[in-house]
Amino acid sequence: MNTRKKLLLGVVSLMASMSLVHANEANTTAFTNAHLLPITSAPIEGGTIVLKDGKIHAIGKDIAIPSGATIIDATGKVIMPGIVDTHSHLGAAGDINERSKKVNPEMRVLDSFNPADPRIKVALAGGITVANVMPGSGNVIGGQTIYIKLAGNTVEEMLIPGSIGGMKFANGTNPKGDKAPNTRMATAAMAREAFYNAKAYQEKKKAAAKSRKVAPPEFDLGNEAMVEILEGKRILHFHSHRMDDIVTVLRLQKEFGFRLVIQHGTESYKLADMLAGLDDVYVSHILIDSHGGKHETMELRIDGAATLEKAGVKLALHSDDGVIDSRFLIRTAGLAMRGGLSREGALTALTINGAHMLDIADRVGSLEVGKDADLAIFDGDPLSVYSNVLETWINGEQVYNRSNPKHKLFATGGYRISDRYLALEGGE
Amino acid sequence: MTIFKAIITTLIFAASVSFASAQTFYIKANTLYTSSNDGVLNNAVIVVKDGKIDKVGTNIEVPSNATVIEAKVVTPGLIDSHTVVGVSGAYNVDADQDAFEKVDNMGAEYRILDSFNPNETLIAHARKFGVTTIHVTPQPAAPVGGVTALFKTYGQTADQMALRTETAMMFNLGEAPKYFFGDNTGPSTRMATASLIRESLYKAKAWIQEDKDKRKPDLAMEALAKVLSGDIDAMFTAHRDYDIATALRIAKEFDLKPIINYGTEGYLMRDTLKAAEATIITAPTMQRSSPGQKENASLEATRFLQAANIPFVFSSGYEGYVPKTRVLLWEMAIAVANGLDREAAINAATIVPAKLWGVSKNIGSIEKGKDADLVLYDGDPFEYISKVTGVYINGERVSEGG
Repeated sequence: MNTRKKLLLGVVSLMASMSLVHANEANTTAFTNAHLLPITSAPIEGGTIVLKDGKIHAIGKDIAIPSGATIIDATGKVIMPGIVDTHSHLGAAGDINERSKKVNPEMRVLDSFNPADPRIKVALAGGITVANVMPGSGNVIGGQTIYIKLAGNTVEEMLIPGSIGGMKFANGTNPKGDKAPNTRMATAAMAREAFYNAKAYQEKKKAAAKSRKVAPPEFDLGNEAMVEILEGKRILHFHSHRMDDIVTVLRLQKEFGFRLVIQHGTESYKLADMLAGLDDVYVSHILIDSHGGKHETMELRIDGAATLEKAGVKLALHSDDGVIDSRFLIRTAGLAMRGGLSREGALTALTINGAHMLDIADRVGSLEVGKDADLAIFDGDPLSVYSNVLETWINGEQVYNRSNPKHKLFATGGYRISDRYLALEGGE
Repeated sequence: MTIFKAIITTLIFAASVSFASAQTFYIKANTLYTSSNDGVLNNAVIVVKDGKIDKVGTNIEVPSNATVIEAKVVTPGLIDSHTVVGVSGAYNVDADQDAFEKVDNMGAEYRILDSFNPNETLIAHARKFGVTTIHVTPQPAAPVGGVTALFKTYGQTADQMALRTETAMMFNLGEAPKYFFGDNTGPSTRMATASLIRESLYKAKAWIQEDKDKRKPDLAMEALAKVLSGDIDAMFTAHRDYDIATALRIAKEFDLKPIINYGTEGYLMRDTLKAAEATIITAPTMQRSSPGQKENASLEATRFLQAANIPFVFSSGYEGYVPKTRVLLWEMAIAVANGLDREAAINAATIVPAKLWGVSKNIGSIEKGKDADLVLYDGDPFEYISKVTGVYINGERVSEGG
C-alpha cells in the first residue's frame, strides 16, 4: 500500500469513526418510569432501561442515565424484550416447498426471502423482532432456515451476526405425496439415509484432514450443512405433530445425536415427561383456535403447553406465519394461559426460550446488559387482549410506532395497506 | 360447605342436568348482558323453569332451598351467523366434507340440512365457547350454493336440532366461484357469476307464473321461488366493494333483503350499505388477509360499521385448513379490543342475528318466555384468560365450557 493510499484510508477511517462517535451519542436512549419485564429476572416497577450503540447499556431502578441520552418517560408502559418467533414463513411464503425433490439440505430459504414482504411490518406491529424463517414441511428435508432481525433492506442486513440458521425436517402427513415418500417409514428412511451419507462425508473429511494421502470427499453443499448438524453447530427443526411421529424424531435423535427443536409438537403433551428428561430437546409449540383441519391436529389441546410446562419441557410458542398471523403470536400465549400455562411460562415461551432454540440467547430474548436493544413496548399487560404494541425497537432503533397512522395500519389493516383505509382515520 | 351439603348440591345438580326440562333453577350473575331493552344488569338473577326463562331481574328472591349457579358474567347463548361446522368435518378428508357439491355450480335444490352431522366434533368445540345456535351454510363456492339451516348446537338429529330447516339461499360472488369452476363449467368471470345467479332467479320468476298443476316439479325452482316470495332469505358472499355492489344490484332487481356475507370491504362503502339497508354477516375479525379479495381486511371493520349504524352479525366463516373453525367469542373479542362497543358486540351475536334469521321469539336475549340458552363466564368474556364456565341450551347444561 503506498503512502497516499494509506493516508486516504486513514482519513476515511477517521471519518467513519467520527460519524460513529456522533451516532453513539445520538443513539443513547433511556426509558424511565417503565414497568420492565426483563424475563430472566424479576419485573421492575418504575424502572429505567438505557440503550446505547444498539445494545442494552443499563437496566434497573435508580440507575444513572448517561449525559446526552434521549430520555423517554414510559410511565404506564410495559417494556419486554422483542418477541422471538421460532417458526415463521415471513417473506418466503410461496417459495418454501421445493416440489422437484424431497431431500434438500443444500437449499437455503435465504434465497427465497423477500425483505419487502409487507407482512414483516405486520410482525413488527405484533412486537416480534426476531424470526426463524423456515422452508415448508412439504419435504423430508426442507432446507436451511435463517435467523433474522425484522429490520433491514436486504436479507444479509437482517441476518443475526454469527448465526448460520437451522435445518428444517418434517415427518407425518405433509412430506408424504405421490412420489416417495408416501409412507411414514419411507420418510424416516430418507431422513436416516441423509444422516448416514453425512456421517460418511464427515469421516472422509476428517480422514483427509489428518493425512494428505487421503483425498477429501467430492464437495457437496447438502452434506456440508448436514455435517454442521452432526457437529452441533446447526440446530435441527423437525416439524412433527402426532405422538408416534415425535417418537420417530426422538429415535433419529438418539441415533445421530443432533440438537433438536420439535416444531409444532401438537401431541407433545402426551410425551411431556419423556421430553423433559432429554437434553438438547426443545418444543416449539403451536396453539390454534380449533383442533382438526388435518388428522394430525385432531388432538390439539389448549392445555398442551401447560402440561409441557408442568413436566419441565423447554417450551416456546410460534406463529408459523401465515397459519397464525404474526401479530397474533402474543395472543397464542394468552390462550395458552387460558389453558393453564403460567404467566412466567407464557412470557419465556415468547422470548428467552425461543432464543435458546435458535442458539442466540447471548444476544436476544431478555432485557440484560450487553444484549441487543430489541424491545416491545405495550400500553398495558402484554398478555391482555386489550393491550397494544405501542413501539417496537430493534438494535436500539425504533422500527414501529403505533402513533404513526401509517404504522398503525400494520396492526389493524390487511395485506394491502390501503390509502382508502388511511382516509378513514378520524373521518368517521 | 359441608360435605353433606356438597353431596346434596351435587345430587340436585345432577338431577337438574338429567331432567332439566322439569326443573327450576336460579342463575346469579354479577354482570348480566340481557340483549334486551334492559341492557346490562348488575347483580341480577335469572330463573330458569322447564327449559325457558321464567324471570329476569335484580329484585328476585332466591328461595333458600333453590339450586343456584353463580357466575361473574352471563350472556345469552351466542349465535354464529355463518359457519360450516357440522358439514365440513375436522378430519378434512373426503369422508367428512359435505359442504360443497364440487361438480355443480348451480345448487339451489341442495339443503344443508341433509349434510349436517350432529356428532361432528367441531360442534362441541363451538358449544364449549358459548355458541348455542349456528347458521350452517354450504361452502361459499358455487354461484348458487344451496339452502342454509339454523340449528341449536345440541341434540341427536339434524331435524331435532333445527330451528329452521330452510333459512336462506346462499349466493356466492367474487373469487371463489371462479377458482372452483373457472376451468370446467364456469363461471370464470365475475360477470358470468352474476349472470348465472340472475338467470336462475328469472327462471324461477317464470316458473312461478306457470300453472301449478301442469308445471313439472322442480326442486331448484321451488327453492328459488321461496327466495322471491321472501319465505327464505338470500345471502350473498362478497368481499370486495364491487362484489358487494353487485350483490346489492341483484337484491334490488329481485326485491330481496340484502344480506352480505363476509363484506370484507363493507367498512369502505358505508354510505352505500346504509342506503341499501343492507345487513353484514361479518367476516371473522381475524380472517387471514392475503393479496386478492381479502387484502383490505381490517380488525376495525365492525367499529366502523357500528359508527355508521349499519346492522351486522358475527360469524366464524369458512375455514379450509387449520384451524378448521374459528371461535366466535374470540373473533368478537378482537373486534372489541379494536374499538367495537362491548354491548354492541354481544348484541351482534345474540339479538341482532336472532331477528335477522326470524327466531327472536325464542332466542337471542334473556327475557321471560325465551329458551334458556345461556353462557356463563368467570370474568370478562373477551379476555384471553377468562373462561366459559357453563353453557345451557333449553335449560340443559350442555357444556362445562373452557
